[in-house]
Amino acid sequence: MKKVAIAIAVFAAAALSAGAAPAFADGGTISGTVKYGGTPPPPKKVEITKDKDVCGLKPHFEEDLEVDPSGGIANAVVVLKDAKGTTKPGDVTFDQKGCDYVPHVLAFPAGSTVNIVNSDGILHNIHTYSTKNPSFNMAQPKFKKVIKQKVDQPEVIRVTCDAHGWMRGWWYVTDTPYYAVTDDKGNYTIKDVPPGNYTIEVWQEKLGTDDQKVDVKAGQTATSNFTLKPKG
Amino acid sequence: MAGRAGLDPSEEGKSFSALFVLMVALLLVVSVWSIWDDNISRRPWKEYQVEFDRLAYQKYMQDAANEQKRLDADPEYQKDEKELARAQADLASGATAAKLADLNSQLTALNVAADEKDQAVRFTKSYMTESWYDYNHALQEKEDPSKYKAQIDQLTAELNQENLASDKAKAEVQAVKDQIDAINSKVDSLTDKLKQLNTKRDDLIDKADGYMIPVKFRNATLFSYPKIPKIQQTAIDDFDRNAFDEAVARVDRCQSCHMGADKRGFENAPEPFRTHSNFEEIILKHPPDKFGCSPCHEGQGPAVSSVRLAHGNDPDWDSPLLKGNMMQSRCIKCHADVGSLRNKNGDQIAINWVEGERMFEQMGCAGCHLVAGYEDMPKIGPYLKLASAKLDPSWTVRWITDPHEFRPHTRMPNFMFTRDQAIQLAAFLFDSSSANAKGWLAAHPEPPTLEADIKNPAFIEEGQGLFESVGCKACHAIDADKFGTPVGSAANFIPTATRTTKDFAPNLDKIAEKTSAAWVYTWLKNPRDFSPHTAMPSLRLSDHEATALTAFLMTHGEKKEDPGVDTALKDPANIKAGEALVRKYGCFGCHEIQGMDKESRIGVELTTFGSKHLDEMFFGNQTDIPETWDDWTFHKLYTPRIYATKDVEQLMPNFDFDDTDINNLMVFLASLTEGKVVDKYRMTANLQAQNEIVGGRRMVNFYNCVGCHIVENRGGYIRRFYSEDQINFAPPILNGEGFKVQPEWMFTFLQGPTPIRPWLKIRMPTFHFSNGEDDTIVNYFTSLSDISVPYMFLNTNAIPPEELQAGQKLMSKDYFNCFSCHQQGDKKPEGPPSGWAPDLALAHQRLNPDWILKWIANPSALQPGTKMPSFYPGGPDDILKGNQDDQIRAIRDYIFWFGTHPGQPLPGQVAGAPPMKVSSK
Repeated sequence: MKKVAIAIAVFAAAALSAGAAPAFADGGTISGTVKYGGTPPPPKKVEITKDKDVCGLKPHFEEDLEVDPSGGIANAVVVLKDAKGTTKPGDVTFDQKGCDYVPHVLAFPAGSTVNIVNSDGILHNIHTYSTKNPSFNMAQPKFKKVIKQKVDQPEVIRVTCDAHGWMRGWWYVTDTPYYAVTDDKGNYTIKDVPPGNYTIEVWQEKLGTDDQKVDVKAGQTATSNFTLKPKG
Repeated sequence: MAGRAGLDPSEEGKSFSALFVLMVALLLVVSVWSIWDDNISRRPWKEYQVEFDRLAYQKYMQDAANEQKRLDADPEYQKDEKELARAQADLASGATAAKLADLNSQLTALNVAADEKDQAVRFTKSYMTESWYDYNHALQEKEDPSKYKAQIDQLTAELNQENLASDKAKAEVQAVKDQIDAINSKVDSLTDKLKQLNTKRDDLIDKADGYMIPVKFRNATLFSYPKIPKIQQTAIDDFDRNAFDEAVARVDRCQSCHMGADKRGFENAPEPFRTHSNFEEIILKHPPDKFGCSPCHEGQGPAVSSVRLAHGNDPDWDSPLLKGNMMQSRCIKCHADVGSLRNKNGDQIAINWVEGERMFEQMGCAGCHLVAGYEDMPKIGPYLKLASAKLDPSWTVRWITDPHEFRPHTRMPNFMFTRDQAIQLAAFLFDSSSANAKGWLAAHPEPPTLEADIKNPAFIEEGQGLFESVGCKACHAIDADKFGTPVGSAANFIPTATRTTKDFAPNLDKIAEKTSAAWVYTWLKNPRDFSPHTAMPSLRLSDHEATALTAFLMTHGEKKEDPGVDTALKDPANIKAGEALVRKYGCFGCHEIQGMDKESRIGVELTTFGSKHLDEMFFGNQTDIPETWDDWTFHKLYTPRIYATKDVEQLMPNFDFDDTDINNLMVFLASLTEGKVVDKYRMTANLQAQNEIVGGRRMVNFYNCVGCHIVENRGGYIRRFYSEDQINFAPPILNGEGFKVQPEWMFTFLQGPTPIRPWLKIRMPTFHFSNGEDDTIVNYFTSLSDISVPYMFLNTNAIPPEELQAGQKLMSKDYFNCFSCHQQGDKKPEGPPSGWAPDLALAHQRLNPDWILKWIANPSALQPGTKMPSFYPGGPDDILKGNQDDQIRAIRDYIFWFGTHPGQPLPGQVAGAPPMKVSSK
């Protein structure tokens, strides 16, 4: 009996991992860079005014627009707007570390559960500003290492900590499995995209959104670069 | 032979059959017509009923069909149904059917056998009775009973045998029955289950059958026919008064046609069948069989012969059907506090009435018009007993000529005075106030450095900063076409200058044109020093701050002198003419004017304006205005002197009202009716609280508390000047304040505000409330929060030490770290003030202990959007066994304890020692 149960478990696990594997064996890839169409702003230092023994260990900079020397924008979200595909919600981690949110922008499919981790061991609170999902404001004192929060509706949610005013993060909840967050250099890659012609959209917290068309061919890499201009 | 004189014998032979047939036909037609007319033409409601019955029947049948569809899609139902069919088929054929038939025939045979055995038992019992009789008889007759004794013995033996046989036969019957039941059991249990699943569908079908009578044959409906229509009427006892002031019933037959009004599910049906709007609040709380319809809707309740008459649209009927939001004018008949009537979304049900009433109060209507219940409204205009100490003469003349010219959004109406009249009025105002002004100016000398200081750019800049931050902007705007607090319907959105929007407080755009720096300075220092009843509070400005603010304000506008005005104002003829004008136009309705304290209102009393008959309304020469109450009133408010004729002068000034505001005012005016409703229909349960809320709300309107605070989900106009990050610096939201704070604290705070959030730049001003006014506000808030026993006391010396220790531990840095944001006495939190929260050492004086419990449990529930996070659920397991309620109480009690024992160690603790370990066991 036990053996059967184990066999079923193994089978289920195999089935699950199979599900997470490429949905389209002959899918294409989209990659590109999101660049800043202006003079890169110098990093702005944030003054740490509270809990300096924990938060002040490293310097903090404003994170609303991080541009590397080559002009690449970090933490921009790139999403394929009209691609068909079933999302695979899972568990994602959002850490409060050194009084910063890690990652600063967390993208995940709707229905996922966010494990909100408090690595700092001081009182933080997670205050979300959302319209489609219920907003919440939960304290996370030292003894509460992890808070689990399921997010059901796709939208962009701002997250703040009222105890540490400079802390600001974003949850980008997608309705598609095809999305990516740019790295420090502004690069991104979306894999296993079923071939087709799509609208691809970029979102950046300060610069807003922009979109363009992209043609994905089986087994090939399509390039889609963006240049976001400063607002106003 | 000729017949009798004048008679023609040939008449006898004449045939009248044609006439007879004609008459019979006529009689028939008339009979048919009279029956038709009586039953059909004059019973239009019958057709509606038949139509509604058909509609309802279709609806419920459709619902039943939908339910059937849902059932069909339900896999469990499908499975059960299939199984039942299979089981039924099983029973009807094959081996099971044969077995069942066999068992049934066995059962019949066994039943016969068992009956026979039973009968044998009963016969033997009869014989036994006979033998016993014989035996006893023999004993009595002294004969030999032995023969009978033998018989009895023999019968007893037989009976025993037969009993055994009968029991056996019964058991056999039962055994076969059990077998049959076992075979049928599956079908039976499935049938029961399906019946359960079908309940909703069957109920719907029953409901449908209630509207159309079905003719059934073997469970199948062949056809349905409509019910015979019936008048639906409600008698509302004692609702009206007859000519002898006796209570009489009112009869409403509205539901003879409006059949869906009291039923859910007809929300999208066409009228007259639609479900009543706000069903929960209106229909469920006012069941039509008690309250009827016409108390709110008016119309001619008993009339059923035509829609026109039923709706009271007849010149002979005084109260035609109220349309649209005019119905809201009837709530006040039974509810003292109409403003608190809300639907399930929290929206005010009589919003137009509420806004109309507020408009009536805030536009100063009660200054000229007497209305019972509004006799003691404060005057809304500025104090003119010191006019000459404040106003620039040339400006005054321009202002009186056309107030809207200088301030397009002022509440002051336009009296359409000529310039000469304006000069006369100004002359009187300056003259009548000159003696007072002399004294006042002597007592309030201009600070010697003021003239120089207000030209100092540093002062001007500082003044601008103050204007932006201390709270002026809650009520005043300083740019043309901007608003502080708007009055009327515009207050529901932040207006971008519409022509008719009204300002609550003057726009200070051109203030320097109107008055002097010295006056502004003194006014800012303490407005009540100048005007004893003004709504403008004191912001407790220092001399320096007042100077800076004056400097900033005086950069707005400049003096414009009209030549000749100064001389004209001193002309005694003008002064005398001005006095006559003041009396004629009733300026004292809104302003306090020297020597006019005892004047009575100049307008028509409006206490029963809503009941005014059309023949009491004067339409002047206006022939194109329809003769209805609504039209007369609309045009009167839109163009107040529209009904004036050559001989009939009208004095009402032009307020330049918005159409929406006029409509709201009309709803309010329509509610001013004759006739009282008896108590059994009135909402009397919490009458005192209702009256306290009404009184308090009036004060909130007059002092414009909503400029800063959100009260009853309304207002907080200043909040729009704060960015989302800085919203913590905005004045607090006062929804639920009556539950939150202690009444004594609120009373004291209103008398002399002390900062709760010292980091705020905006100041709670001092309003100089009288004791009575202060009480009114405190009672308003406690009543709004439904607090009947206002305060729960808490003896901090009676708190068990373990609880205090637990509370201390919970609030400590390792746990909830409350002082990360909250101030504690002199100890300020770290970080910038935008993240600070109120001083918990003051909580014991200020907060309701019950409120703290609810607040800690879920802050967002009490104040949506608050920065205070929720700590629960999810308290630590190692304190008070992880029990949430115990932990919250411990925190609350500890907060009260340290507030009342500042600087003291916990009981059983040595000063300076670390907190004791709290055991969870």
